Amino acid sequence: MASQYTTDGALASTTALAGADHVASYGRKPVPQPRGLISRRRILLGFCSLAILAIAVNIVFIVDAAMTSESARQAILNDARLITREATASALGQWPSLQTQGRFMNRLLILLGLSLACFGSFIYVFLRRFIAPLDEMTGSAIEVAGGNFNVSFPSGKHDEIGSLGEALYAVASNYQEVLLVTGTSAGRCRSTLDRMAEILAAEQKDSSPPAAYLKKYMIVLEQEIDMLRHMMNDFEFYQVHFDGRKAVRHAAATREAKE
Amino acid sequence: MGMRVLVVDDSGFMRKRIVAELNSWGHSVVGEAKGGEEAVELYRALKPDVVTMDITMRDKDGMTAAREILLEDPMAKIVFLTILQGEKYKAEARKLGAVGFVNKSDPLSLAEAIEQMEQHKKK
Repeated sequence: MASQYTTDGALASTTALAGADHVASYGRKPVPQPRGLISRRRILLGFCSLAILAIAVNIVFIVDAAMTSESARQAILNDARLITREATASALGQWPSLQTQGRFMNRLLILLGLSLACFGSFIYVFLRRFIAPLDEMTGSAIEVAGGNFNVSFPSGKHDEIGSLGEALYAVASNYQEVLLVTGTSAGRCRSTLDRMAEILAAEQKDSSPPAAYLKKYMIVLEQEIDMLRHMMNDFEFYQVHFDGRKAVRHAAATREAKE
Repeated sequence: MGMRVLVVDDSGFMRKRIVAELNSWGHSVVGEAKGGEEAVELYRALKPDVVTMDITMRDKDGMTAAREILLEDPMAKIVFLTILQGEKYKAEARKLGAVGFVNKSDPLSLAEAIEQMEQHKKK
């Protein structure tokens, strides 16, 4: 059951809150765009530049091979016009090298095709598998940080992106639950206080003893406050801990601050 | 002897709190599910005495999961443990066949609801 009501406890909490007012801001802070997006775009841009350079070099090689092959063909044709034994022999002598050059060009074309396919596939997979879910997650996380929990996180994939999505969803759902429980509890406290005020107002009119009613409502308030205190104890904070009544800095954090 | 309870809630933090509360009252938590789909599967596998069921969950909400569990096992004891308030939800839960409807900010009511079921089980 609920513990005994203590006036000093309420006073201590009030003092702690009043003391915290000048050091803590309770307003929502704007969430800046993450720098990761910029660096990720730079990496992607660098990769694309390298890939385009490789493909361009490949194309230059192909054009060069084609031009060499064409000039050899022209040479054969020019020689053939002379219709001399030497020219025909020369043309026949060049024929195997022309075939080799043709094969070389075909291989370069295949290589170019494969390079383009690999590059295209990589860009497609990279955008679809990594960039799109990461962008979605970043957008959702910014929304949650701004107080909107009605967002979804990509999950269901059994990889790092899926795990990250699940973790972000867990953060959002925990945050939502805590806020809803806190809000509901605050609402019940407010209703209880309103009833207590009504009883005290009625007492002034008809002088009936309100003690029993007030005690009942005080128990409700005690339960709500204890529930919130227990919920606070389940959290771990950086540099501070909640001692049941107020936030206290960790000894290590205090030492560090002094140093 | 305490009851064997299956805790269903999508918030890990709330599951942790509910499990701690149930353990402190001497009940054993036999399973934890973070969604309606998992709740139905775990119910089939574990056959717990009681299920504490959240309502708002991502994959399958608590009402749908409870309906499926009760269709398979009409004797299943389901207590809705939710932040939602209002007669509308309570009436829907009753209509489904749930044995309790408790607000998350009032853990003592959960203790009372499970205690009632325990008494009922002993009889």
